[in-house]
Amino acid sequence: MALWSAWVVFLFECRRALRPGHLALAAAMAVFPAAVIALVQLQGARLETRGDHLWVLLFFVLIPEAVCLLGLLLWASPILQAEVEAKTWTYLAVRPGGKPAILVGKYAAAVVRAILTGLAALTLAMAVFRPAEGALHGWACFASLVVLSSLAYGSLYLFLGVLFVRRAMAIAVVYTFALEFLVGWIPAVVNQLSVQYYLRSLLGQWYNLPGNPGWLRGIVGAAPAWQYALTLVGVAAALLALSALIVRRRELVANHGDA
Amino acid sequence: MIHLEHVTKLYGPVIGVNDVGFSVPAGGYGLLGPNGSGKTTLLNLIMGQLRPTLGTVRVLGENPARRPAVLRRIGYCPEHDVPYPGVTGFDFVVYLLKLQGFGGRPARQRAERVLQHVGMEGAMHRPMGTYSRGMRQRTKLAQALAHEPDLLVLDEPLNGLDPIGRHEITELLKAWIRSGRGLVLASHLLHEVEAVTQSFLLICNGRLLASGSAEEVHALMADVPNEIRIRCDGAGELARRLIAEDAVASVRFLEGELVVGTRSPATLYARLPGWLEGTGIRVHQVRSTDDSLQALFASLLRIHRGEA
Repeated sequence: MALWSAWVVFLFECRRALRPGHLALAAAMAVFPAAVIALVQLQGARLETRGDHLWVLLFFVLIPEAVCLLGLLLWASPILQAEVEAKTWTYLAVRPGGKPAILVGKYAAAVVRAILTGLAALTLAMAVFRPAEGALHGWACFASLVVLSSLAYGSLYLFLGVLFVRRAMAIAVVYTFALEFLVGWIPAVVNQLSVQYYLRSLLGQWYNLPGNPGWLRGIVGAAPAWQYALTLVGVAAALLALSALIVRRRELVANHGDA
Repeated sequence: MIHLEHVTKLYGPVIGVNDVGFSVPAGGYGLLGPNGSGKTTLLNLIMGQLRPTLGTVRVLGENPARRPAVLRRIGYCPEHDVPYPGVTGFDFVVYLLKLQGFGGRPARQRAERVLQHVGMEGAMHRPMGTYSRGMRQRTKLAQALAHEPDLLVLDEPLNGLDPIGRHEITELLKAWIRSGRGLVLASHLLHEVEAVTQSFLLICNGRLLASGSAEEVHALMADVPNEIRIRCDGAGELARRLIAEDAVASVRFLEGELVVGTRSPATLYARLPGWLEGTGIRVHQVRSTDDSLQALFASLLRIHRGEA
């Protein structure tokens, strides 16, 4: 019953995501990296030189780190807040599938939206940039990063949204700036607390970044790629399970907000 | 059908409901109480959306907070408006039916049937954002009825309905009770509940003050001081005559009206024409200030505290 409920919620949310306003936002996000790359190229900057991977870093910042992260900030963090504020939660929570199933269905819809937007952004950016070699390898690497980034950031923002129902978005923004954009770039062990470290390390493995250039040492890990991928998937699963557990226990009624 | 035992719900230092206990079999029950009395909290406890701080809640033999599967047998119509302005009433009911475990085709068939049943046949395929208040109420009721539950829990279901709509929904709910299933109807309006059922649960300040039939509640009220307002010509003369009567406890003037205190309003109503006979006093209006539910609850609270 719980799986069926999650599937029903997922389909319903996907249909709602197809409304013109939502599609326009997703389209704008998908076009953004390609537009930036086109502007950079118009300025005459050389994104691809022998042995250098400036374009790889630019793609990393623009697609899994900007498009996916921003999308999930908008779609995953307020999942519970939006339901409680719109007073829709009451209608959904009194169903036999249970509250965790509703949460999982909505999380899946948010992640799929972010992945599709990220993949569209990647394809458009590739079409604009046209790397001289390794285009397919690049697409596959970044597509993998888009999927892993969406899974991990989605569950992270969902978790923050479940913990801080009334201030979900604000807390998620503070977290992003403090941990992902600040602590995540400190060349010390503490940066391993950020999702970005693992995504960056995967990129490093796939493009042999740790030793070249030297300044990347310390902010890109040297362990095998599968370890980083597994960590991201594991963290996503753990945070999703924890969120489901919290929402099962939490009393959310529209009259009292977070009771 | 519903069994509550010493149920208390606290929101931090605020008491939602306080030591509420009752056990009701199948049938229709009106949960009556002024706004903010704890009705919605009680309904949320019954629906398993809140856990009692103290006490136990059993609905259809299960604890709904621990076993959500029992919600398959309960239909709930919250007080809040139907959400999703861009979604049609039909799609909304289909969605919730699927969440009750129905497949696509049975859900669509049931949704169509139930929306017709509540009088939404002409508007079910329109977005809910275009609905009138009455249409939204009907759609809310439809989603609660759609899966044919054993128990229907409705929070202020007649709000916003026009007189015809009220009559139709009232008849629908009476038929529901006649079918032998359970109904809990929460309202702050006595006449709304009386039109559907004669069994009451009276709640105020989070406490269950009284329960039983309309007659039993009226019997409880028999010795409680009531006030009756009389608008008439010759109020002074009428006051002089009334104060001599045993049934009258007090008389005062307020805003040009005579306010008569009595412990036996029925006696006063019965004898008033006799007292007026031959006096030439012309009475324009007689009304009880205690007709309002608020006054009834104030009286019951006084009984509860041992003040009356």
